Amino acid sequence: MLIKVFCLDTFRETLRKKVLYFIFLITFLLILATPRIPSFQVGVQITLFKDISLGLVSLSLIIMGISLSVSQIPKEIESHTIYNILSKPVRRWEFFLGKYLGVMLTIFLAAFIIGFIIILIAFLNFSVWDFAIFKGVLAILFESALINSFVFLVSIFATPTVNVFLGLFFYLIGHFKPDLTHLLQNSSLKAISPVIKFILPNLESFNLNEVIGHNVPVKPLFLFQLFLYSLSYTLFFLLLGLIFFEKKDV
Amino acid sequence: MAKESAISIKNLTKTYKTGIKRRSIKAVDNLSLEVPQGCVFGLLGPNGAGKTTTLKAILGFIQVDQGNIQIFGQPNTSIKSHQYVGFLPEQPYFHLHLTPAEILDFFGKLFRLPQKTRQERAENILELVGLSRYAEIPLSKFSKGMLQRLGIAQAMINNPDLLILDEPASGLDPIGQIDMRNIILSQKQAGKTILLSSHQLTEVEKICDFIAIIDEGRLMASGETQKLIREEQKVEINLVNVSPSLHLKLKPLALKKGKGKRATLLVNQKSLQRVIDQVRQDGAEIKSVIPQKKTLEDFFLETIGKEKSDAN
Repeated sequence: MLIKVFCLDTFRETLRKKVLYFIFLITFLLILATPRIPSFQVGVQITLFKDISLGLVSLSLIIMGISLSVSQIPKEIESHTIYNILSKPVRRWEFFLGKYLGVMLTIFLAAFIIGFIIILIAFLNFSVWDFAIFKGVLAILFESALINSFVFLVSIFATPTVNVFLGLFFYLIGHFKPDLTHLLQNSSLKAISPVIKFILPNLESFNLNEVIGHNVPVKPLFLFQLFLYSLSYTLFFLLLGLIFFEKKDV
Repeated sequence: MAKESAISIKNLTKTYKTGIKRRSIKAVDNLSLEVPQGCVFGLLGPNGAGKTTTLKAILGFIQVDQGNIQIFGQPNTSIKSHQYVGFLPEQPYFHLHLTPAEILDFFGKLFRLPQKTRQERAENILELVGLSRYAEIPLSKFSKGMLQRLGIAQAMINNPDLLILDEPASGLDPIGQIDMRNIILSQKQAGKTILLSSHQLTEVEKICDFIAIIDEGRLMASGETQKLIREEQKVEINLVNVSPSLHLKLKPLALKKGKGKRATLLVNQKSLQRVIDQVRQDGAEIKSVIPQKKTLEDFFLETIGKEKSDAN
């Protein structure tokens, strides 16, 4: 299947992006500096370290994902490289999905490396091997997959610049969904409250930072539920994206 | 049984909506065209005529308002039809950090070619287009002409039965243009069909068996290249001892200029014999008969100009 060809090609392309290494470096330096923050109280250092580190991972992977996703399809259309591809016996959905999976492969690699770095730093500073951190990273990956699928859908219509703002806006609304729903229900914008409540995903569900930080066990069943939640929205956005991409004039 | 056309276009119409007010622009208007197999077919027209839109429609890059397009009898949007097609876009673009070998390997994968086949074909094609020395050089170092050569190379990676070339000689120096012409003619000799869109009418005249001229999205003329040019070819006849009555008779027919006992006529092939008989009947003397070599450029300008003046 050609999905694999496009996935690996996109993966190799994204590894060349300087923005990826810039975000990675900043994240690494911040994680490295976190145990040295002088306001840390004795006894809660490791808790706060894990919470803050996972927060930094979340932010960096989301920004990485959005910045890599916004231009995948528009750039190919604008530069006309898409003509060389779609003139071949290639189904548009293979190209679309391959691009998406290529970005996700890069995010997965980045997540794995950062997760390992957090565990290593935790060991070096607190003499603790805490592989539960990977559960937090996995939840962030599920969230990233969902957000990137939304960004891919929007990239069919919007310019990369507009899409960056829409992607970040989607991320913020998703994290403040319960508060926003409550606020809207008591305001003159009551009518759009059901849209926020029932249609938009609750991205805060993927936030396991505090839970992992306080060593609360995260059951595999819960992670699987998160996976299904992410998968349902991801498939929905990707399917919409495919439908519109099939009809798009390039 | 008659061979099916390489490309069959029936009643193709495409309208673009543009701007904030969504103004409609009809890029192609009820175009019907047949490209026979095994020929070189030129698609000509001024800028904005609808040539690129037609090519995009053939390749399924755009949604059409109406029309039916088939490639070797298969719907143009089917994956199967694209197996037979190689496309060179105008000003081909590639990821500039890649090398020609990597580019051809990637495109070979899109045809599901085995690795050994991809490698062999890439070597042969790069040799054919004169890029074998640069196989491992990143494209960022390439000139426009070299990228154009790579463009034709990627179009041929699947050994296609149908080559669609949009401005194939664009960016090429004279030697490059000759090489491109030789590639096209060698492909034709191998039984392939070539559809090319070009502004270089002298090249088109040399290599195209058939042409179609479109303007404002409509078909203006189509047929065998030489036949179309010859049909419109004229002959200049210089006469002496022309009587005043003959001047009057010749005026509505073909008189280019006439003064005193001399006259010069410009006659098309169809009317030639009739005019000569008339001239001899009147006793005038034919001093010279000079066929006017008509070029494709002349035919093209007359066709476009004629349609514009008809429209006015």
